[in-house]
Amino acid sequence: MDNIIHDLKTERQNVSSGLPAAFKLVPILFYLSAAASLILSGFFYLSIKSHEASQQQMQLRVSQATAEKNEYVARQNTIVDKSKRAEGIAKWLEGSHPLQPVTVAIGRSMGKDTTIAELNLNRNPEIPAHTFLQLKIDGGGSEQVEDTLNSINALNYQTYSAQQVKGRNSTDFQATLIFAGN
Amino acid sequence: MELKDIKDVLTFAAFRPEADNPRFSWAQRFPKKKSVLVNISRGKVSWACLNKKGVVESASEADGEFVEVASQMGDHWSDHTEDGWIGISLNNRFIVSLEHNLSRKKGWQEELKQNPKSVLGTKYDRTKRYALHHNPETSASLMLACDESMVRSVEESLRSHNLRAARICSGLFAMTSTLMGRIESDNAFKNQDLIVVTWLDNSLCVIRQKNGQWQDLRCRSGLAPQDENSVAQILRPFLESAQPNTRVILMEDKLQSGFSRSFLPMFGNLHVTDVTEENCLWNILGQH
Repeated sequence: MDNIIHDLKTERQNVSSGLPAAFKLVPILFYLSAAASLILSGFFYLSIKSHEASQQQMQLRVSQATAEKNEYVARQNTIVDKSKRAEGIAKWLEGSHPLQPVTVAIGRSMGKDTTIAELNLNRNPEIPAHTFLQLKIDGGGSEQVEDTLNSINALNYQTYSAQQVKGRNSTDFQATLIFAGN
Repeated sequence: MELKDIKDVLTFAAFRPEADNPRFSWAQRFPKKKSVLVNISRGKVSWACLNKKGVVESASEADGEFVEVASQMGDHWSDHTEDGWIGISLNNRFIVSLEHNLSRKKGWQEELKQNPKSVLGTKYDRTKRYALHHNPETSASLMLACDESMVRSVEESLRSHNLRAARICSGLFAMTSTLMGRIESDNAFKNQDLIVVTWLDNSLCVIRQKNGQWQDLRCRSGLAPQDENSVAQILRPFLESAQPNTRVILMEDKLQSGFSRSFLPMFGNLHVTDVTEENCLWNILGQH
């Protein structure tokens, strides 16, 4: 106080000496919290950016994986289709295997002047033991049909509902073959 | 609570004293703020602009009464202040005297403003405003008495130019008090036989100190320029009683001011120590 220069002016009422120094904590805490908010905001912003980048990377990887999966599925479907077709052929081959001796017996039963114009062997899908035979023979006539039936009967097949239509130079024969067993 | 109050808290301005609080020094009242100090002499006004570090940036002066100079320089002063607060040094119509046994009870500073008669006793004159500087070793005191009408007219002039007085003081009394304070705290000077001379723009104060005692004081404010007779009249009793070992301590408002240029030879062979610094008045007013 002794170092303060005197003052002669007309004094104003309620002149403030300033708030107590301890209250400086209020603005200090305000600035600290503001700074902390900025730092946290920056930290969260960078975290979000990093997360978005990793999310985009993951989405890219997911789309790549999905494309690869679709490619594999397409290739798998192709293989499955081929496999099914192969199975069908195999089944056909396996299913046609019992009829091959019939076909061979019919072919070998043909005489010197006789030819097979048409031969159909259709297995009944509901009754696999029944096979529907259609045979068109050029030349030969009834004798040739008898020889052919004998050859088929030798393989333990019996004819059922046999029909024979004779043309001018050909004979149409159809019947249901029933395998009599060994 | 207004927005300004919140702003003051956040800028820490609310923790600083107000600009016109006399219980704080100028530097405490204007930290990191520009300010202007004005010295009003008889027929002459000088001023200094302090920068935000409290250092004198520029100083100037103009002849004329304060009212005339203020009307011309008011805007300039206002531009160099924060919120229009300026410090005034009155260098006219005051007297400094040496008194003894004045009351020094606790809180005498506030009492001197509110009820000066209880401090000054019969010395009190209701047309004056007072300031005191006590000698800590003795019962002697320096008493400044300034015309209240002078203070009020200055305040009125400032108001008319949108300026406000943060402090109104006597520059010569401030210089004298500061110099006496330095002598009191300096053991080399404290008990010497001294003639202490302070000079501020044609105002003179001379004190005789011997063995730590203030023995005599003479003061004149607002002397006419180059008034050698008046100066000689003031100095004569001090020079007549001076011993060969008497030292003269001189402080002026600035280096090579009027006293050292014109009146220094009056001291003859006495050892004169000039403690004047550059911008001495402005430094004292701007720091204390």
